Amino acid sequence: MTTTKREITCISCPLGCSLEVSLADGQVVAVTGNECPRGLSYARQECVHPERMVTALIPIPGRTPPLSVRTERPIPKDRIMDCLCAIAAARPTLPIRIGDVIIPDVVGVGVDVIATRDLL
Amino acid sequence: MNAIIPIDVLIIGGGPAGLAAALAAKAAGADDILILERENELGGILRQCIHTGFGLHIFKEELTGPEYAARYIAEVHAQGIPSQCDTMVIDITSDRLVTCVSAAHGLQRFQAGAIVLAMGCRERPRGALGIPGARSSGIYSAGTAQRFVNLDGYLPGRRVVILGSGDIGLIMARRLTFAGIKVEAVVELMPYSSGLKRNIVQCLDDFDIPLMLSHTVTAIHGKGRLTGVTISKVDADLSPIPGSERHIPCDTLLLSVGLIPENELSRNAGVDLDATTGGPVVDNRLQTSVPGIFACGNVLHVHDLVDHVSVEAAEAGRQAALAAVGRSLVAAESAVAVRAGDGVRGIVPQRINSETLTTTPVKLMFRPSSVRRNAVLVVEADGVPVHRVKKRILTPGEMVELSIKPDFFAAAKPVRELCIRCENS
Repeated sequence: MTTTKREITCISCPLGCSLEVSLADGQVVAVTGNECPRGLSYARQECVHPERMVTALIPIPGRTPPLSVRTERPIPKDRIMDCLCAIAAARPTLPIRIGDVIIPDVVGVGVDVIATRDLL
Repeated sequence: MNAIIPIDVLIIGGGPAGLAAALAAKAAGADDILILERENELGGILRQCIHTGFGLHIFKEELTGPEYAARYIAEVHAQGIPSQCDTMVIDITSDRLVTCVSAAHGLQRFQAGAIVLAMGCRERPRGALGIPGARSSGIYSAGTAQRFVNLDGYLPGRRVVILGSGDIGLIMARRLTFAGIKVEAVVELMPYSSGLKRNIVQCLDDFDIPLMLSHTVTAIHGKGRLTGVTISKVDADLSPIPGSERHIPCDTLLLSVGLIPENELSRNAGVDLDATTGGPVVDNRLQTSVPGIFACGNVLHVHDLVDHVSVEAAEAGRQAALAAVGRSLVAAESAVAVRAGDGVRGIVPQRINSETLTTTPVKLMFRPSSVRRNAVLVVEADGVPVHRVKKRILTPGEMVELSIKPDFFAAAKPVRELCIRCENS
């Protein structure tokens, strides 16, 4: 079993503690540098299955502004670029209402990409 | 000239502050309300903020800017509150005569019972920084670039340096990266970032974009189009250190170096402005020094979160409605002055009605003047400490809220001045 170390910044509060996280087999085995317990849960989330909301734009020919979209929930961080490529390839047809699903189950992560504005 | 149109509550600006003020004015009993907006639709700056992080306090959801705005706009429409877009207000007088122009209606004049100033803020431009070098194209404020990308559908360049680590700059670093643009670095004069930690991690660290603290741009190169910038390390006095220069090739420089409340109209109306916040001096009802003129949102002081703008604006709208129906159209005569002491900047409101102080909690908002750990905020009434609050961390990037409660003053004699200061514990 190999232990690796990672340095991350906790974003739970403005203190922004620098955390040193020890990982073994992909699991967090130790965290130092945190000033409160929230640092522990942040490190577990961020080092084991980090997630991000993704927001992006889809140009609609002949129309401004472009259609703005987002993932309905955060998706795994390592799928952000795949998600952006899928969004770039999308060719939605108008009219579009805020909240409409533009890409169901984007890149198989079980999360929809939805419109964040009306484009009628 | 057109006839003067009477109106109970006139709201200048249809962004988040104006929308929330309009809804609250309606709820408080004003029926004759109009929102004037210079853009072609309501929503203000939220329209171009397509990232998430809005609404966590008010809607308990993580929304994008357009979604947050859409909820308020839908409610404004549902309440039948009229708005007039593509309309530029060009003058406000101290007796609340408002002049505006639009292609649709030409020149119009409104006599308002009460006015809510909700014009927002604008970005500090290059001229305010005095960076020497070429006048090349390719230099934009971060919000201008955000508008190009998110509303107009253009990319500002291919290789970008961002000066200033304000949140708009950080958000743009990620947006441009998503669009395939190389962000070379974010350069910050101060030894700390004024942006939220979350944005530093999720907009810079995630994409290995360097954040260069205690650095600044000391020269701009390029005839015609920008070809690069020189950056230098700065010393403790923020002066560039000779010999530390480094050249970064780029075709675009974005400036994210602060926001300035947009108060030209307020000044015309004779509203007193606060040199620190850049916004009007207000009392706890958000009334300015001119009776019947109220202010809220980023025109009053620059906020971190739109949720806080909505809350503040709702109070301004409510008070404007009460003033318009004649209930409180007086300046606070016996007002307690609120002063920022050591380590504290830009307190809003700057005055509290004496009676209110001893009967109702009043929320103060301000920023610390530097980063402090384990600090204590001290409330003083005429020089006597009456309350202390411990804070683990204070940073200029995060607004502080402090509730001033009547029981602070239970045994005290009438207060003339409150002072908030910060000391180390």
